[in-house]
Amino acid sequence: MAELAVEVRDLVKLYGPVRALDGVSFEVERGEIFGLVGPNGAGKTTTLRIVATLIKPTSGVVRVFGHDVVSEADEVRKLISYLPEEAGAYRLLTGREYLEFMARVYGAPPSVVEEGIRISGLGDAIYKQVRTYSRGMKRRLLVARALMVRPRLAILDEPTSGLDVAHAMYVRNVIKEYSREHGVTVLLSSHNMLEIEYLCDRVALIDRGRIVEVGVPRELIERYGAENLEEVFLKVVGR
Amino acid sequence: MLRHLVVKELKVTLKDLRMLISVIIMPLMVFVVMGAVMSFAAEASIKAAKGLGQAIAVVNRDRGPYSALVLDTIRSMGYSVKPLEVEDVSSLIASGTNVTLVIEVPEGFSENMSSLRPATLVVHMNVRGLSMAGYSVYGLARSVTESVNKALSVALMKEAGVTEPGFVLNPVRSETALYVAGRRVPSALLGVMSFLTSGLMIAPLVVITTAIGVSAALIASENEERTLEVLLTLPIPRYKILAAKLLGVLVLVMLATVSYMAGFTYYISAPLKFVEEEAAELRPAAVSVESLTDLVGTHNLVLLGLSTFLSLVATSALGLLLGSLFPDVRTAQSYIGSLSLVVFVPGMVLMFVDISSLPLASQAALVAASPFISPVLVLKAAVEGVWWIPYASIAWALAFTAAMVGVSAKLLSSERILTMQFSIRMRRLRRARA
Repeated sequence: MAELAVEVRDLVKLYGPVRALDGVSFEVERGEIFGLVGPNGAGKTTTLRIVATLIKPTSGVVRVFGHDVVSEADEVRKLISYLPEEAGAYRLLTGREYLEFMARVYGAPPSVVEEGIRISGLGDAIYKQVRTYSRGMKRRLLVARALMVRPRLAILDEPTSGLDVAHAMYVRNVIKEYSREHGVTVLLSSHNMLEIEYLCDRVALIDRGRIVEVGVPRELIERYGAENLEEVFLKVVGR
Repeated sequence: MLRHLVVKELKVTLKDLRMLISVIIMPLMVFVVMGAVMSFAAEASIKAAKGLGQAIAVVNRDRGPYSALVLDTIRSMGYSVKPLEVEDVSSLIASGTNVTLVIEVPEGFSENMSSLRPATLVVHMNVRGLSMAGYSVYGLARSVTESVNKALSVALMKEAGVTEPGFVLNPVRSETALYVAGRRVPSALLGVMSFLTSGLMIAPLVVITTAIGVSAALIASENEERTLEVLLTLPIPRYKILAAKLLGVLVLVMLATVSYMAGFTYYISAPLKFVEEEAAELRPAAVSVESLTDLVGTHNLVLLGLSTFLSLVATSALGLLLGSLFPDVRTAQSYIGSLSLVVFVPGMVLMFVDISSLPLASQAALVAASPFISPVLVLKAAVEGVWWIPYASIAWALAFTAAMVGVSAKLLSSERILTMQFSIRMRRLRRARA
């Protein structure tokens, strides 16, 4: 069997007395787009932050392409690209300068910057300072930053939250195309069930720090006799 | 890799107008404005001391030959004399006259002189408000009474048949020699010592407080712009992120230092013209780097540079650490601003005391505070020859820096920096709701 892109086993995370994650386990195959779905506070961001080496688990194991996120964090960082939900870019740099900086950090050739500019679809605005960008433009720049370096694993936390329909559509299409074309594995979170149905090969439903169901969206909808993923979620958690 | 990070830090900072103003433009402006103000004040006080454009009023109740000599002497000094006929000078001044000095020559003045009995001149000094120049009225009064005394002495000596009254007045010439902490330096330096030492000591303190502010802002801006999380997941060792920030701060502080030096040069050269007027024998040939090296010694200046640099690194590391606790630049700067007291209070106290006269415990306390005030402490101690202090201070600044860098690196490599932000935000939210 091919090595898994992400392997999460019995993941527990405590913030003081709060049990943010309570034994989360799931696997992400290479090349697939995998979605974590759940309401606010379910544990999506905490899980992604642990996979992205930002915070450490209280217990449990997380491996990215076989590398442990705690003991081999430096190795993992070479393979991943993380986009936080509320991320920003240096406001006084131009969009292009920002992409150039990121490409240099990854030791990538200048052609990567051109690729990033293409992905962002920002046109001439790429020469303007980030502070002049709308929220949607900034998000497109950040998604381009995350994908242009062709990471083995892209971790995207709510990639379209707060965007208008046009920007959200653009970002979804970019993620889907890029993953297909370059075999980039994507682990993303969203509370937008429609987005997940459109984008993801498989999903894990997460509620109160636990994975309550995993599967292919269409199969889950059929199995639970539901109209959409939203209904599946409600049936699973019994609310 | 480190280079790219440093370049990013510099680009992000130098494009920031707030930062440019506080780091490069302000220091220059402060000295230029201070220099201009000092220069203006000096000129104004010289003018006032000379009584230029002012009349000196004289109430003469004597009418004898010696009171006439008093009036002539005042005129010969270049002042116009305004004769007054009033009973009560106090009520004249209370009524709001614009004369600066009223000299009252009492009845019987000439008679006292000719019978060789001391006579009294009453000098009324009229200061119109609260100003630094007020004191100069005393200078004017003193110079007038001295000249009058001299003229009267000469007249009395001539009458007594002294052939060389000028010699009798000043039979001794003095030659001065100035020593600073045992080293012979040009006497001319005495006149500019307070200028040079205050500049030498204030400038590093200001640069150090700037460094704390800049470094705190540099990392707080990562929080404010929400770029820290991405930065921490990039394939860069955490120590390089920290090193790049420190290097960025140092480059900015170097720029600030150049700006200070330019300002300081203007400051020490501009207002000193008045020294020329006031005390010719104490006039420095030129106020320059040479006069600085004369005053403190070349090797001590080198020591000053070294300790300033170490202090900068130490306080920048502290700034980075503190800055990471704050969610945005403004909050960081408002909290960090109060830290400048830690630098300035002991720094200013030091300017007025000699270290060697302090008890050992106080000396040790100063060394303990030395990462913040190292330049002033090291310079003073070296000049005074208290040699254990510079070494102890530099060693402690190094240890402090290592500790700060260590703690900052640890903070960056743990999740504390993210969870701390989270808990600070939550606490704020709770407080806002309450």
